[in-house]
Amino acid sequence: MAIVGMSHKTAPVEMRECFSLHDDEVPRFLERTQSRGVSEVVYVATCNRVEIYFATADIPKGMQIILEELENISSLKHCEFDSMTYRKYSRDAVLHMLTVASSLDSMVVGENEIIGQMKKAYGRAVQKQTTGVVLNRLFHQAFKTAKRVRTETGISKNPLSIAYIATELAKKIFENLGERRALLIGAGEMGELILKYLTKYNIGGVTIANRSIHNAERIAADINRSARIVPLDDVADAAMDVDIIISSASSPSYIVTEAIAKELQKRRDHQPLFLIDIAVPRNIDPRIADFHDIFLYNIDDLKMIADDNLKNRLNEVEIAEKLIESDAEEFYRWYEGLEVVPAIQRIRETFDGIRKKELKKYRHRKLKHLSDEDFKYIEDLTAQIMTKTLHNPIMHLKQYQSEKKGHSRGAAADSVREKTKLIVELFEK
Amino acid sequence: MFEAVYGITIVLFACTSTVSILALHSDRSVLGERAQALFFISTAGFIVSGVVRYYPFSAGDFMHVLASIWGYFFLLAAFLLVLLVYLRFSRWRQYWKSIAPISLLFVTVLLVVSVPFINSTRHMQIDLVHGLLPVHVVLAIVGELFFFFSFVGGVLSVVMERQLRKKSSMIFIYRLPNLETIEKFNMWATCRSLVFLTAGLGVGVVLLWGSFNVVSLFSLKEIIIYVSWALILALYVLRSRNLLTAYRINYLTILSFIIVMSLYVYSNIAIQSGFHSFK
Repeated sequence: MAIVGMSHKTAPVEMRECFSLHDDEVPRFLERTQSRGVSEVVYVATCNRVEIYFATADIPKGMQIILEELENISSLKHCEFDSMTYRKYSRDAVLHMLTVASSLDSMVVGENEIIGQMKKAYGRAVQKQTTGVVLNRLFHQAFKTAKRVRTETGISKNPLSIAYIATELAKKIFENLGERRALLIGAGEMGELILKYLTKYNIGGVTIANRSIHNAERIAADINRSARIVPLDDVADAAMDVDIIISSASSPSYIVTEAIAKELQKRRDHQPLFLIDIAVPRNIDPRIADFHDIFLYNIDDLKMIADDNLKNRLNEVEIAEKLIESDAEEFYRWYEGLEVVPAIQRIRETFDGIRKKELKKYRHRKLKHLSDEDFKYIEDLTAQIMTKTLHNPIMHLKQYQSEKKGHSRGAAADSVREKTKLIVELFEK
Repeated sequence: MFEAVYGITIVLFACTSTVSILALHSDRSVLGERAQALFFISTAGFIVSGVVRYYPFSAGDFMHVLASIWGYFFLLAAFLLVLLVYLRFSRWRQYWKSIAPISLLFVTVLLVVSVPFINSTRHMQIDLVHGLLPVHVVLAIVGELFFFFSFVGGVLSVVMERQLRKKSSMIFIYRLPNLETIEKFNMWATCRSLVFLTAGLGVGVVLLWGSFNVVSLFSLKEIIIYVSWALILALYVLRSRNLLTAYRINYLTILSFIIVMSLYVYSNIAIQSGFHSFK
């Protein structure tokens, strides 16, 4: 099992895009790679990375095939991108994959997109039947670990984008956004984005106040077709029946003044009001922040929260790494066990062959007089004797293999392989 | 034997409240699980200490327990635990993790306050032998405990509002219920507090009228209960009519509860004469 890939940490976007396949091309790539001898292969491409996960009996040969395929995709010579790629094998590969899936290797630590992208890539490979025992289990382990990291650490808990933070703050003030109304003042890009998020959370109603009614209509068509549109001069009136005000208009003076806020406070009967001022220069009088039941955030406040949230996410990395390491170790132990499986299979087959052959011989000669039912008992008995006789040697073989290989590579791994071979040979003709 | 079990129970509750506060503060699921396990263990310890002290039970034990200072605090803690369990399965269950830490701290305080009176011979003179007496007591206690829950909601609301105004990391904000929900919880608790306390006082008045032909004996404890009832009514009116900002009402709730509870505890411990007192 191995990985070859490049990410935002090792290669610039101009290089990464050379290896990015269109959705239609991926199945062909998977089929081609498998037909050349790589037993299992999955191609993962996101805006931050291109990675190929593969499992095959001959890893060096598999790596060679993958690199040749990468040359084909990119039309670049191997030496041109070699320094920007990373290759990881066995335990390192498992650890890397689990780290990637848990978004610890992402540009924005803790982001959730990566898991969806990996699931999509895996789904494509499953559809093309280019996954098998190893990659199936590895990907499922990665999804499980990513979920653990997300739920057991705070790595994904605190939002980092300004628009998302504003929406989350609204959700921490109001119980049900569906019963609330938002007012967007101006047609700034960030304001639109916040409104988009609020709409995603089913905000009850939207009013858009803008100088250009045409622009307001464009935003309404994009985000919320039932939005009420008012001219910018009518902001004071429009603000009276809303609970959230997002202001991103270009204006030399305050649009929401202290007087408007006082009137709002009076009319709202002490109901909370959430104001987001992302305009520079500011649209909302900062003195309003001191009013009870009014929560005012400007762009610097939101940025400060984003920075704090990022710091907190990074503090969680260490805990997440420990979880990943323990899961990777668990997977690797299973993976190591796979190496003796063919040997165990062969020993069983050899013994079973002898058993069946001898039974057949006796059935025709000395056990002729037995009924089919009685002979079935003898068949079961011999099968049980065989299973019990082989139980201890097989268990020891598994145990020996995991002890020897569990914490080391190289020479120990070779020794296990040789000894397994020897044991198999002992039982072969 | 009883002293040892009770001592262990108090230590367990102290640990439970500490761990549950830490769990809320750090949001570590491990701490949350430990807090939950500790809650069950300390509650079991609490039940065992009650059993050790009063086994075998007999009819009228309830009033006997209540008639002692220690028993009074023990019952207060017991009812609070029952209400906490109720909250765990009520519509507020998803906010239980925020409500429980302060409640468990209060249970610990009640148990610690009761320690000097474990072997106290002071008892309340129960002049009334009436079937409604336990009803009066239970209603009044439950009313006061709902007032405690509105205090908890007040604390949560003040903390949440401060966090929102602090404009720093959202890490703590995420763990608390949203402001509107906290306000609804406060209103819910205040309403129940008012209803139970009114009913409790009403039953008390009926009892007094039936026995002494008076509506009140004006003992200090009675006066304190009437004052707390008036405060709860005032808080209810302020909340329901939005006469003040939520922030101010929550501060008033916190302040009112602290004053009422301090007077309540003081009156139970210090006053040794008159009706309702432990003599």
